Amino acid sequence: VVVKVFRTGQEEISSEAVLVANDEMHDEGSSWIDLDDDLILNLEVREEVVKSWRSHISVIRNEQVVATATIAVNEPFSYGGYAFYQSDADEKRPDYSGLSVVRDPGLGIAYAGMLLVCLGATYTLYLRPWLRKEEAGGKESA
Amino acid sequence: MNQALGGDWLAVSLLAYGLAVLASAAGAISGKPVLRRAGLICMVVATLLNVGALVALGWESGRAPFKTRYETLFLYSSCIAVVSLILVAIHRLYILIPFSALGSAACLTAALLRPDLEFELLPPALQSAWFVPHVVTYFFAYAGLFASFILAGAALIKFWMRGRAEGALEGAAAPIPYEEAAHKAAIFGFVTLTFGLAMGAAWGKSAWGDYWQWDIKENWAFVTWLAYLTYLHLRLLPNWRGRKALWLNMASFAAVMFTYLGMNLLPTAKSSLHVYQ
Repeated sequence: VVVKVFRTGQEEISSEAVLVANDEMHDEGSSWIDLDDDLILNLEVREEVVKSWRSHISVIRNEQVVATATIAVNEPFSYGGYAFYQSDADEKRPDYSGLSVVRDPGLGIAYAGMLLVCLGATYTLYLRPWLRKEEAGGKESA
Repeated sequence: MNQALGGDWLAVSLLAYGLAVLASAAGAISGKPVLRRAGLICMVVATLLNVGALVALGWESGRAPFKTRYETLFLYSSCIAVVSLILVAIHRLYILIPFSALGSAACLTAALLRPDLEFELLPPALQSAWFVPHVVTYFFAYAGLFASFILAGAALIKFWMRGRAEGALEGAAAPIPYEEAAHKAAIFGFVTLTFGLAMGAAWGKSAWGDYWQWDIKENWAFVTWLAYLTYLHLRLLPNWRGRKALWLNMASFAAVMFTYLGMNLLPTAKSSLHVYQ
């Protein structure tokens, strides 16, 4: 039997054998301890998963801060026709933040186009055949 | 112990789908209503268990369980089952049950062969209100297109049988069973794909600042959309309606499958957030 125990947080590990293995883990990424003849405790260092990237944005105009915001992935901030996006980050460098600033005056047209395609498909493929059927049904019964 | 997440749920729903395949196929072949009804009951039970499995995954992970390949296979099998049961309820398309049960069972078997052993956290890009509607819309579309694929196959077999019985010329005049149903299911799938694509674009805009990034999944989703668009248009032509259009419908489903599961085969898969690992 092999028992796999994953070290996920900052749990306190008190056993001496585990502490030795823990040092090895930091050097090699994983380690194992014989607990018994047929029981092995396998320890692995897991990659940490980033939950969120955030940046604090200040808009400065004429040396005065006119707006501040915290942006994150999926939470952009718009000011004066420009949108600020959290577009890149580096977990090894917390002082680095990749931003993209987007001015997209044609966006309304693009969205209107998408909406038209959706509504047009629904109308042509569902609504119009249904309306025709109703009409034909009405004529038959009249 | 390393155990597949939701493994017990998976095993029982797989079993129920298996029984649904056997009973409904036996019902279709023998024509006995008892067997058909038994197949339908197994299918309903399997669907409930499958949806239960999905809910359990979501409950345990504390998020929508649509992140990994394993999780989406639970979602796809549920959608296939739900869509086919709706089509049976509305249009009495009993022919779908054995095939949908088989399709759902195939999804769950694929999940079982490479299970998730622990939950993955959602990366920042997936933490969005669009996550659930975008993914669920797409999987209902894929399920509708699966039903269309099966019905197109059934229609082609009917075509072939009629051609053998009556000679091709006489057979071509009368409507072929399942051809209209395959078309309707494709319409449902296409309209749903359209909404899914638009939602994805809106999501992309809020996450990355652009609604289209020429990511491999986006490209293939577009290819799939174009394939069904072509089918819907060519079916309007008299010399395409029937056999040719049905073949095109079935071929288009290959694009669906490739968009869903084939992305890992492409060299740029690693850089895409869309690829189910």
